[in-house]
Amino acid sequence: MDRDTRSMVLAILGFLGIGALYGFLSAYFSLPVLRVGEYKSLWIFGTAIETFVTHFITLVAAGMILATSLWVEGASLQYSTAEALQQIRRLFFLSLAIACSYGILHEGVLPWAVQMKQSAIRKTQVANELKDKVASAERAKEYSTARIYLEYYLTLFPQDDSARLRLDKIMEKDRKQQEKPSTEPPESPSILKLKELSFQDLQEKAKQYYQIQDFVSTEHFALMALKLKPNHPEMLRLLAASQNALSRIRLTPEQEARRSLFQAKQQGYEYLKQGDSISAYYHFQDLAKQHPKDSEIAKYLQLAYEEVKKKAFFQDEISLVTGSPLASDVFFKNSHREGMEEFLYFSKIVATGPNSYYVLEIEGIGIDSKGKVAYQFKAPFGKFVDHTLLMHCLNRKDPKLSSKPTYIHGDPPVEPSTILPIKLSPQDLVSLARLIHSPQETPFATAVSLLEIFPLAGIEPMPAVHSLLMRFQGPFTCLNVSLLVLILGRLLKSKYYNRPPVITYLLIPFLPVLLTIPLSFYEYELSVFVSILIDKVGVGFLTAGAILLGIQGFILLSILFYGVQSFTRETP
Amino acid sequence: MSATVKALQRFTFSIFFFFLLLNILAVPILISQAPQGSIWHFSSRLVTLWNVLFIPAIIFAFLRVHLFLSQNPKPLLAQWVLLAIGSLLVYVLLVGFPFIRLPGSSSATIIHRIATPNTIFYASNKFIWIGSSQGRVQGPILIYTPRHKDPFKIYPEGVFDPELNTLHILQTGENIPLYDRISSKRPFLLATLWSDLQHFTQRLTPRHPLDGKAILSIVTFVFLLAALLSLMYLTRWLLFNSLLALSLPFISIASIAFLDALGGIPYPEYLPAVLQGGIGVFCFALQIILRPSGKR
Repeated sequence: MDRDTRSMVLAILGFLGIGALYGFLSAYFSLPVLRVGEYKSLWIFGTAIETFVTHFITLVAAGMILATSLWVEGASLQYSTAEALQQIRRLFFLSLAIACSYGILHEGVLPWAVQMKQSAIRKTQVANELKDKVASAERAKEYSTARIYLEYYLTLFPQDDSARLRLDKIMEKDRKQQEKPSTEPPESPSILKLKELSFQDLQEKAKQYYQIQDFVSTEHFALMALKLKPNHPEMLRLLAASQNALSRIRLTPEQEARRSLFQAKQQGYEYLKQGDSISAYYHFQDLAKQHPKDSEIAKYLQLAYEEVKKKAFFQDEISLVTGSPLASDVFFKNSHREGMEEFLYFSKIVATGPNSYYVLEIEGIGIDSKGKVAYQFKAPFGKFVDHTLLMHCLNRKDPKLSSKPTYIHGDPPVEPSTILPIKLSPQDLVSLARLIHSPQETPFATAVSLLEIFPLAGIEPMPAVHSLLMRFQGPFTCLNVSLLVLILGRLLKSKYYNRPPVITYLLIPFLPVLLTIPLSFYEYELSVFVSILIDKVGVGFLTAGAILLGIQGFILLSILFYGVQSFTRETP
Repeated sequence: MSATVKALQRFTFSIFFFFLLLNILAVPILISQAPQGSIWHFSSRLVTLWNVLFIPAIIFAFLRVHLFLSQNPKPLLAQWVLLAIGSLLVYVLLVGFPFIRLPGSSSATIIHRIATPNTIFYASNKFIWIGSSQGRVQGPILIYTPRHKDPFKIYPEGVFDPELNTLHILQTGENIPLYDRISSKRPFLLATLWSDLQHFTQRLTPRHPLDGKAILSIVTFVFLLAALLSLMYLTRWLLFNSLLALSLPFISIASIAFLDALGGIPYPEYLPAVLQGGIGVFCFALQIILRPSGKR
């Protein structure tokens, strides 16, 4: 590295160092304490890097113009064309190296820094919202709901001891309120191993019990068998005989209890047969608590549970959510039925696993062809299952505490109202929301691939395309600006043989500020130009990118031409 | 003498070049404010901006000529000639520009539509959907404001104002700024600079051909520009000198706009002219001290 290049690199590094320091200081002094809560350092670090990368071109330009105009040696500009071209080539390769570094910083480091910053804001926002929700649920004496929110809060802030104490109190209140302590989880492995009984099994059992004159059991198994084959003559006969016997004899308390149990089982079976799996689930769950060893109840409870999972989910599933939400404020057009537009808003999308996505706070509206509200609803929770959103959120212990969508206007457009078909997958919605609210967070290639989702969600893609094109042209702007300032610096070179007077150094702190004005104008012009291309002319991403590349190439050629022409003449 | 002629040639060429460049740069901004599908609408609006664009053009032209004159041992004659020609040019053009009008279509008769119909866009922390975008009045308009007490709002009609970049809801009179729909918000420094330039041009433009106050302002302004040559001799660091010379007229323009914006504080009517003239005289006096010959 020759002396000139070393001076230039040192000047650039000096300005970059000052820029980084400024980034940290400005982030520290503009810290939005209430918005970032416990994540201050995360926010400061992310913001400082973001500021640094955003001002990278200005800082580099300031370093370059200072070095070339003040420290780089060289005779007066009276080069031959060949010499001028050689000089320009040297400057060009230096600018190219700087532009490449900028590209790496912009696409490699900036998304990471923005993610860091946004994550601090999101986590704090979620924590504050959760605290508010806990308080309001507690006021409404909905302790199980309060518990879910507080448990989620504690996964974000595990060190918050006061919240842990509060959770203990809420859990105690919840227990007292329900007074139905559950001893067994419904989906224990022993239950999963059970096999369904066939008609032959039931028939056999009915016959066996009839032979030993256990009429209560005979009646039950005959009835169960008849559910499978309603007109089976032998089972009809056994049922009639057992019921006849039961009407004549006086049952012992034990027999009476068994008969009640069988009737209760039949009631649950009826629910299942009618497709009311949710009632069947609660019914068998109550029976299972009273008769934990009854394998038949366990079997039907499992059956009911499997059916329930297809149309609803449980509140405690959401309490398994850890970490910050994957996306916030998702608004999209869901379906296009004939003469009807449906819009959905999801406050937050959270995940408990790779394929378990949940939604907190759902709002939907349907607008008819006349622009009138056809229906509007709200639901507190939702779960994504196979391109549908289940909005029936069950409380495992008390069905009254379960939540369903509330219709503010009109009637549900489809039945059941708790299951909403969704056009887009939760993964797509998450990516879409990130690209809309914080495009810098998404890596360039991912963002380009996501552009095709916009029409499916009925969302205008222009802002995302604009942001991507501006990112695309960033390194080219860096190249052009660097080259121009190198040429200008060379043209406006100092003529001191030694160091200039100290007073002239007063310019140095103002240099980045002064350079910000033309640079922001250049970027603004490009931004406006991109807006025209995509919004007014209506060209696509690739065409606009090609045009932009052509424009930047033209500017580069003009700068090169200006440089050669200036370097080959005597006066500036 | 030949240096004066060369300086004049450079001055004329530079004014033309910078004026053309500023026009070219203004075109995309005007197109972005033009109605959808009528991008040539900008031409009639561009003409109305010529007087404002001419002011920075003449500042840059003077600076470029000063870079040339600073190499010349006897620049005084060229300076006086430039002062006379520059003043005359500014006066003539500022008087003449308001008469130049293109028969452009009126903004009111053209349909301003926003976004692609039936798509959602995000602006001012709201999700906005416009059903039909065929006529001047567009609707229905659905607005969703997250975390708002009543988040869904539906309005039958609205009108898009491209100049203010707002969506005007006819039912309520509410204006929703849309500048962050596609983020091309004018940078703060540029916006301030532009408004200061507009204000300054208004002050400089003669109300009638013999407007003494405006003539005095024009002469003092051009005098200031001509005197900036002295700053080229301030040090031997050309970048320092050039940036100082470039910033001085803009600082003077911003100061005048600031004084006028204060409003409440009364100051003599001719203070801006005196300010410009004073800086000019100071610079000329400096030029006598910083003799160019033999310094380099």
